[in-house]
Amino acid sequence: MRKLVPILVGFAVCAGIWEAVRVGLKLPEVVSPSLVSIAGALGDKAGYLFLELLFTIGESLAGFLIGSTLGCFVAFLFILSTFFRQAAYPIALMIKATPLIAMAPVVILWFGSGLLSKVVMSSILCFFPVLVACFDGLRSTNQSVVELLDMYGATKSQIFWKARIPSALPSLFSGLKVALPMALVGAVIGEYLSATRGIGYVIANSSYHLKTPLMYGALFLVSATGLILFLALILMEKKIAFWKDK
Amino acid sequence: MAENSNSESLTVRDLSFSFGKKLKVLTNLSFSLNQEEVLALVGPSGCGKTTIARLIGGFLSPASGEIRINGTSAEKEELKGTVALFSQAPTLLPWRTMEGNIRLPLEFEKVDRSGASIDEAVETVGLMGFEKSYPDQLSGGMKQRAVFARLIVAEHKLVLLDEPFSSLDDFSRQEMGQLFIEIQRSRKFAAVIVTHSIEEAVFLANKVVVLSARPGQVVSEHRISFEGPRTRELLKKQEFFNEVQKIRSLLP
Ligand SMILES: Nc1ncnc2c1ncn2[C@@H]1O[C@H](COP(=O)(O)OP(=O)(O)O)[C@@H](O)[C@H]1O
Ligand SMILES: [Mg+2]
Repeated sequence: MRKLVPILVGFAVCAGIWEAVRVGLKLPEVVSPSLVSIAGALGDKAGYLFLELLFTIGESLAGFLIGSTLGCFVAFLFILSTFFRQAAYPIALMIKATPLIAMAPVVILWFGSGLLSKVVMSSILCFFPVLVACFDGLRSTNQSVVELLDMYGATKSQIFWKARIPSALPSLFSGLKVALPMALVGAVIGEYLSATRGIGYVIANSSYHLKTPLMYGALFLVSATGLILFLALILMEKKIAFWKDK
Repeated sequence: MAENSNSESLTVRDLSFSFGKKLKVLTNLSFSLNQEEVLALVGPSGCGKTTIARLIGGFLSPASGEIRINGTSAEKEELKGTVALFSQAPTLLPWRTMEGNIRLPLEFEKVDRSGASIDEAVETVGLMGFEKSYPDQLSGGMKQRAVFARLIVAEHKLVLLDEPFSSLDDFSRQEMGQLFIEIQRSRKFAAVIVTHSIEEAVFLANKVVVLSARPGQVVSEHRISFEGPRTRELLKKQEFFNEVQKIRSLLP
């Protein structure tokens, strides 16, 4: 409860600044609607927004799972084969260096303007940070732990499962924490560019029709969702990778 | 010299080792260790003590010479589980509870010993009640105790300790040494302890082997025998001082 106080104060101050700037500078309602009308828009369209948000969350989480799993899988391959790593790393870097916006038309061309293209964009964004973090974690296994298991007669695969994998978990989680917000970015940008569903589409559509309270409301929902997903991931991290890294 | 390798747990004969072409670390090193006894290796820093321990543990291969364990020149694969090398800070898996760590060696053995008494080992080292704690929640001394409990469960025949307890303060260090000796006496394994403390060597060992500066060679060997058990009382006795002095005067 006590922890909530500074958080609430932070939000209250932001809300205050919003209202003060709006009223002080006499900004038009269509540029900077009052918090009351934003809340009103949220309330009016609650059912609709909830469904669109679920849609976006679904795309993001699917993209997150697929991209992260692929990232881990390729990281395993990197550990197993140096040749594969040297061959694949530049390609992974190139994908990483390509702005999503530039990639989006290609993805939409291939996967259509439905749900699938958003999942793909999310996974592309999640792939790289997880690959790097997972590879780092697998590579930097504490050597004395490996020697200990070897001394007890563990096989290579036992060492992999009982030492390398668990000791990569803290590093993997730092990658997942980078990837999760990216998953949302991928889905929302995809929806913004071309879709008929999802919260990104709501933002694009309401901005086009100058329904700014709805636009801000949808924006707020995306941010809040990102925050909640991130907090959930941190809770998971505390349960699964609870020990201090190194 | 009388050959009686059956009663010897460890025989090192004419052992030589170099890192690369230039760095000769050991030349013609020989010493032996009886069953159920403790040998301490002392010598100046960099003289090759860690190298010796890693050679015996099978982590390095000798350039020439022979290492026999329990009368056979065993290959590394056969030594798995028989010989154990522990160095410096205690190694525990941070994602496992203390009990999970102590159980670890059983998971890789060919024979099923999953019924082995973990509780008894935990009790011997005095860690009852901490079975479900994670290493991060244990003090340095408690981690060392957990390593000892794991060592009891693993039933090694030869235990090599390379500057153990060096992460501990003086008091726990002495306490851990004493606990180790008690375990070694009751479980009857042989042990080699590398240390830079002559007091620790004399306190723990049946035999102290003094090495020269690199390339390491045996300067002298001392058989240490005191009446009665090795407890803190011993540290105050004149005979203990005399032994320490004798060895110190021989150090290069
Ligand atoms: N992996 C290595 N490669 C090259 N030289 C090494 C290596 N390990 C140790 N040495 C050198 O071998 C010598 C003996 O090292 P070590 O056995 O660790 O000595 P001690 O344990 O007695 O302090 C030292 O001069 C050290 O610098
Ligand atoms: Mg050393």
